[in-house]
Amino acid sequence: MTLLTGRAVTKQYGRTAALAEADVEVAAGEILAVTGPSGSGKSTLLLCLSGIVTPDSGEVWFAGARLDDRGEAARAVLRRTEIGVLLQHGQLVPELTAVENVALPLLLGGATRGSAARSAEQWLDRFGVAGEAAKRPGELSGGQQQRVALARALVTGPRLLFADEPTGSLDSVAGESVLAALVSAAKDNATAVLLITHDATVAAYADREVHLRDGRVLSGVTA
Amino acid sequence: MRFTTLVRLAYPGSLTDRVRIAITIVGALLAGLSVLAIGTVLNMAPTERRITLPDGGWSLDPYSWRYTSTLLNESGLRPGLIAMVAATIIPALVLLAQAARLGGPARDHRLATLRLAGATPRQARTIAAASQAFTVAIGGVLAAATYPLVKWLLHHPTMDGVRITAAQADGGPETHPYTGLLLPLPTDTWPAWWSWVVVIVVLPLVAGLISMAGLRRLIKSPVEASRRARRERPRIWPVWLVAAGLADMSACRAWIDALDRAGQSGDRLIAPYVLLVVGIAVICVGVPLSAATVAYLGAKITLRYAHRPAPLIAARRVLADPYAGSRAVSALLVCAVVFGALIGIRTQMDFDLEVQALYGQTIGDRELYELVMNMLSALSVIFIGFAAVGLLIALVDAAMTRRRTEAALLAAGTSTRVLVNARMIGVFLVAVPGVLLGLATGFASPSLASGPQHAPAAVETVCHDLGNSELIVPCTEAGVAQQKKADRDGGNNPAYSWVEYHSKGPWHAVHAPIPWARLGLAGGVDLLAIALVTILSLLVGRRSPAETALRTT
Ligand SMILES: Nc1ncnc2c1ncn2[C@@H]1O[C@H](COP(=O)(O)OP(=O)(O)O)[C@@H](O)[C@H]1O
Ligand SMILES: [Mg+2]
Repeated sequence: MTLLTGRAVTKQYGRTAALAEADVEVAAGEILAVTGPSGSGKSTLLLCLSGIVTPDSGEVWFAGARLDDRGEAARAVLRRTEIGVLLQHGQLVPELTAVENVALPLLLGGATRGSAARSAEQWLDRFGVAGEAAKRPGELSGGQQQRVALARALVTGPRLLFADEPTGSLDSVAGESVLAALVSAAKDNATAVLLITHDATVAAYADREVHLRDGRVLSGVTA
Repeated sequence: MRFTTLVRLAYPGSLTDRVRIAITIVGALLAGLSVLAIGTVLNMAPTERRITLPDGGWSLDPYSWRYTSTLLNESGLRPGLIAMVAATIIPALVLLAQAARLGGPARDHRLATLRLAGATPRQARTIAAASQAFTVAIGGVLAAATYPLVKWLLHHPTMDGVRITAAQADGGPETHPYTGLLLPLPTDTWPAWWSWVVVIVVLPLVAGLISMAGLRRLIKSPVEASRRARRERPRIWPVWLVAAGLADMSACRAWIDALDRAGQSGDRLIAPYVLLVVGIAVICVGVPLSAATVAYLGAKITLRYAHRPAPLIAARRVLADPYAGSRAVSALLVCAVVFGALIGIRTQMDFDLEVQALYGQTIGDRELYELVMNMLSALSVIFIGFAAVGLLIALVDAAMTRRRTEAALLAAGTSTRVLVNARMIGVFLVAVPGVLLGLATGFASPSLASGPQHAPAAVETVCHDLGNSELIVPCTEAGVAQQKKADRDGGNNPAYSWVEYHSKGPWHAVHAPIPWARLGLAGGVDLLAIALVTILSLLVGRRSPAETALRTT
């Protein structure tokens, strides 16, 4: 079953065509790797498909409903219910503790602090950073920060996780262990993943791979 | 989103946040006291009434001159009094604006991150507004609680003060001037009911709405906003704002002069005086905003002619974000405007008194004038203290965000001294032209507001002998001076029985000389405060070693 469809998605920044009529499909529970050189439009694709940025033209469908023409508020709500987003770095609120950061989507959704904190702690535990729950992001290593960010992306039990080079700023050992945690959690919860990377070893974790160049989708290789 | 969540996200509690909250509370407290003072002045019962004389003319009956000073007693001076009290809110508002900017980039980043984590635009707006509204409300409640205390502390009834006897009052048979205790301040009056509402409800609401309005772009799309490059060239309109403020003041001047010539007074003067205060406010806003434009031009010039690394780095930083620097020094630029204005007022008043003394007039309440000037000077010193604290925080804030780039520069072999110099130059690139602009416009404003004095071409003095007042004796310079001193001292040790002044020749407009020394001193003090604070911020910044800044994993 198809969970996410992008049809002829186009995004222009000034004169740069960041994304030119890209077509992408993600099936439920599938891990799709999007590869391509730097500047090829991978991040732009993720932002358009996840509803963070509105494409100039084209359509994005999520779970059978049009996503790109919904209002900002509706898309924000989707981000804290059915979609998780994990970026390279810098998405944790520096002033909040790790557990508060993970609890954030639940709190914004109206959960009480107690129940949100309990769910958050479970996810921190699952990713091996339960001991850092009370620390702020600045006190954590890059690998720990990404684990916390991953916990936050998954705390709401989303159907689809967008990950933009989640290990790009980590060394290979730390990167690999974060990636392994991501993949196993996604498989356990039947969460589909759109995984952006320029690293072939990372792409090897995926079920399928799509290659981007100059904002265009070149190939859909099945692993 | 629950209320507890809202409070937690509104007060995330970084150091900068805490300082911002403290300054905002102080600003709101001062603004609240100022509003209550305005409410009090507007609520003051009449001190004079108009009575018709038997010959058909009219005069003002000072039946309730119950204050020690003319400024409070004379109803004709009421608009000026209101304008003066209203003007005290400006520094408080500027302090609030300065505080709101503290940690601005960090707050924007935080809100963008919250949006990414699934906060709706409305939630992000609510969080930003709540943070500001709650804080201002605390300051407002403190002001409302403090005001009765201040009122009680300042309540000093006395028998000494300006009084008018029934004979002087020239008000006909019905005149019965007040003879009881006098008050130095209107502590017999409570603020109007609406001023309490303004302080406790309206100020916080407006503060919240303003902080919401500032977020529009950021709220729309979390990512585009955080990534978007700052526009290269700062806008030019703030310069026009300053020009508009000055034009407004000259127009009001002309208006007031016209009303004066037509013999109008009282209520009809309120509108031009209010517009005059609006002009001052516009200038106070315009100068710090123009600083970015001026700094941008300065940086361009520096880039063209400088060859040493420190000025080059500094100029590049200003060009990269001309607003960042001017934001940090904006409060001190307003200080320059206020200092300039105070010097201008003082120069103008002193000059007026000097010109009037030429032909022997001593009008005006000299003591009151001294008191008001000293109070305003004290206020501006307190204000510069707040501004300096604000600048310190902003600089430390900026240093923190630049830690990484600076560490990289250090690692690449740039010496610490160059970086320190670059920071200094970066601040001064904005501060020097800003302070000059602020002093100039501040000084020009009261000169515009009061217009030129008119003096006779020459004054002839005729001195009457001390023993025999019929006898006219030659005047000596020392004698005239002694006589003036005696007049001020209530007749002690006079040189003559009296001195007559006769103005000769045509009257003409005379302008006050520009007090370069005072202006230089004020500018120097302002720049010195900026320099000291910059050095202090460098000492604080030193405690972040390059290794921690460069750590990524
Ligand atoms: N916010 C933006 N403003 C201007 N140009 C942008 C913006 N985001 C991306 N671009 C441009 O769009 C192109 C694609 O960028 P991106 O999607 O980030 O590529 P990738 O993630 O594959 O490295 C690049 O040329 C980039 O410079
Ligand atoms: Mg990218």
